[in-house]
Amino acid sequence: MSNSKKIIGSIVAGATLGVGIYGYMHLSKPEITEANSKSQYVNSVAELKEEPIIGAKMFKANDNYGSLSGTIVKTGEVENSITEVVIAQPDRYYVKFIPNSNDKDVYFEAVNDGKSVQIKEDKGQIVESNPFPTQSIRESQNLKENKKDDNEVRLNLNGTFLPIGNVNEMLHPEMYVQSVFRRGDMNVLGEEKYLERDVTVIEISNAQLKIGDRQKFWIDNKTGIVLKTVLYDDDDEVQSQYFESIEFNNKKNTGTFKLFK
Amino acid sequence: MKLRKSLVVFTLLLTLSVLSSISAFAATSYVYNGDISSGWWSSGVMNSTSSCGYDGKSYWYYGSSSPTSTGEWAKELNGRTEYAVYIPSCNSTGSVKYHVWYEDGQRVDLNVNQLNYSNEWVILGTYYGDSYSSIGMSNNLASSSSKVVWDEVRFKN
Repeated sequence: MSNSKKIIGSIVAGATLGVGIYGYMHLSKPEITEANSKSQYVNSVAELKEEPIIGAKMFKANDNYGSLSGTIVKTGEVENSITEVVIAQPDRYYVKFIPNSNDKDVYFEAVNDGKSVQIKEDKGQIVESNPFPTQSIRESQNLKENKKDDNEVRLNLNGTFLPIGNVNEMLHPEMYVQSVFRRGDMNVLGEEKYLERDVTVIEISNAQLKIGDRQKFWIDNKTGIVLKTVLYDDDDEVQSQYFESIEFNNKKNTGTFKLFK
Repeated sequence: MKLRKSLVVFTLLLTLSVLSSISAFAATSYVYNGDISSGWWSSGVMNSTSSCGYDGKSYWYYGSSSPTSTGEWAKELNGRTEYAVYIPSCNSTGSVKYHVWYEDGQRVDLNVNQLNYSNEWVILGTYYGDSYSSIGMSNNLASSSSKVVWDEVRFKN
């Protein structure tokens, strides 16, 4: 092979390699900014799971009850909202969401009968969607079990993950653990009674919260569900969300999961 | 002979390098808010900010009782794909409903309270993606005193 051929070959090879490296470095990843360049987490999921209420209950809330019904109130914004839920594991729900408690005539509803999901919008329009594909649910469960610590939150996608209502984090509390609990300092304050149920109270501070400077959680000892959470700014309560009533395993609710049409 | 052999090895390595870069690119794709060429589409009013977002910028607007602002991130996908949305640290205090479109125009809806997440990817699940795949989000589940954000979306297969 002549020298000129070797040189041309090397240039082509070098350029191809350069393009390959550039492609790998730049095309496959977006620009990393200061906002996301360093991990904000102070706790790993494994460390948090060592706390029994988190490892044995909050990460398995869906497995800890058969059905529940309850009313959840959210305060602290211009309008207080009300959410009524009836859930039967693993794939049925009815939810009614009233965005403004002063105007109870305006509300959204959603139902999952295990085969189909319907959402009734505030003007009565019914929108059809699908329950989660079984394959997605399986993969979600597997990933949750094998999850490595990363800057990602995996939703617990079983058939009771709601499309409306603003209460998924309370019913699927591992979402709180993967985000707020990982970001802040955790302090287990003790046990008390809430709605005549035994609860564990946990406070998270320094968690880069968007509202307030600390957040308290009242966690049901039997199921791991968050029965109440409050955001504080110093000692002032700035936002809260809580079950006003809750009942587990009430068989009267079985007819509730009927589609709207 | 020796030169020929090393040229073959070198070419193989190069091919491998190029292929791996292409596959890395194909395996994870992003749709950027505001970038129509990457698959972004929107309607209604949105404010833009350069103070937060996965790529340093994002769109946001106030909650409303009706969907006044809608954003959609679309991507032509092929096969099992993990869908994820990035929720930055600012302008995101409201509850939203993400519409996830997948195989043959099927859809699931997921309610996420953006207030709880800060500079985090929230994975919306794994679905079979095709040419109709997208994620959509409007501002109509959030209170008027809260803000909702449209930032980057990631599809990984």
